[in-house]
Amino acid sequence: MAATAESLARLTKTLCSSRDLTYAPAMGHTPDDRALMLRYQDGDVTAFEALYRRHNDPLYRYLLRLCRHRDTAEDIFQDVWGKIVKARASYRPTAKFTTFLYRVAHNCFVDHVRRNKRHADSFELDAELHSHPGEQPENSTERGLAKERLSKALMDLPDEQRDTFLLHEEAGLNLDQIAFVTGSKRETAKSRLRYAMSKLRAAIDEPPEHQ
Amino acid sequence: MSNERKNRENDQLVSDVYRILARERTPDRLDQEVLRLAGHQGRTRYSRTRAWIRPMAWATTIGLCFAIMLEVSRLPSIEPDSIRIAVPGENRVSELDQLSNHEFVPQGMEILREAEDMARAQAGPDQAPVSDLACPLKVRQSAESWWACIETLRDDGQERLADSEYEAFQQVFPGFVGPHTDK
Repeated sequence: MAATAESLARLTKTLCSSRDLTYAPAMGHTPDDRALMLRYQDGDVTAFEALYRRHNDPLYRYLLRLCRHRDTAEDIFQDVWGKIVKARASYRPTAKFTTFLYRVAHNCFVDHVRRNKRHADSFELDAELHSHPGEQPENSTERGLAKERLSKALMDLPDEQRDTFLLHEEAGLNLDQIAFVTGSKRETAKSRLRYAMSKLRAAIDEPPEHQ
Repeated sequence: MSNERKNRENDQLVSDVYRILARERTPDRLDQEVLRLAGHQGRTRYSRTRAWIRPMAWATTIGLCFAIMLEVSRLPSIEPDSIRIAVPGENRVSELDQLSNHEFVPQGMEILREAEDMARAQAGPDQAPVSDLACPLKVRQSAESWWACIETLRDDGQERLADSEYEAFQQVFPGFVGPHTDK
């Protein structure tokens, strides 16, 4: 009996320490993204608002760092949501909504790059990206250096590697989903993510005097 | 195996630093614009379909009702008293006289007209016109009435007219046997 209780406690501890459970939504309380989209399809605007509030900030950060230009990111952001709104009638809940959303965003970014050849030259990094009001000065200095190095390394990454990294971090997509969004093979996505991670880690570990 | 673990730790560190770095939020202005667009488009589509379907259904129903009523009012009214079937042996001359030509047209009308033409030709140009013939069309529509008319002509001494009428009568009613068929 005691052994059973001990094994149960161990199992509970293992389950609670699982990373997946941390992000698992409470069952029955949070409507699925696809359900919200279908409700919006039927004219329920509040469903769209709930859906938008879930995804607006990660998508904004994804585009901000992918475009490296605030105005362009905002334009593409509006364009993406405009397309989602227009596509609501033809939306079919066959895939995860996040995958659908970021595929639209990725395609909008690719279209923008094709239209504007000077994208690579229009590099803009706002100072406000690195400063967060209310932070302690010591922490701000210590973190600031790491953040600055990471931010610079992130901006220096090739578009494909930066895209893959951001899809992984902001959208929380796995390799298969990243491959779908970017229209590449899984192995390609995996390789891009590995390169990006290695470069960013190297940038974080870089000594301050080398900056 | 140790490489994988090292990679995982590195990835976790990069993710953690990135989480500290990436804390931007969408500007309120953008939020408002997107939500306004979504609300406008969603409501527009929703209300547009709902707005015109119901009035159009009502208009269609009313239009159909008017069309049906108009069609019904255009149909000719058929009254039972206006239909009379001539029965041999029954004298209905007075009733037939009341009928107009538009209401009752017998199948042998063409033959009657031919007989009239023939009678006119036999009577000559100085005779009365067709409408003034002794046995008019209304009388000719029934064998009995026409026969009675011919008999009347004979009684009045108008043998020539009675003969021409009789010839026409024979063409229309060849099988008719009158009460005094001595001709």
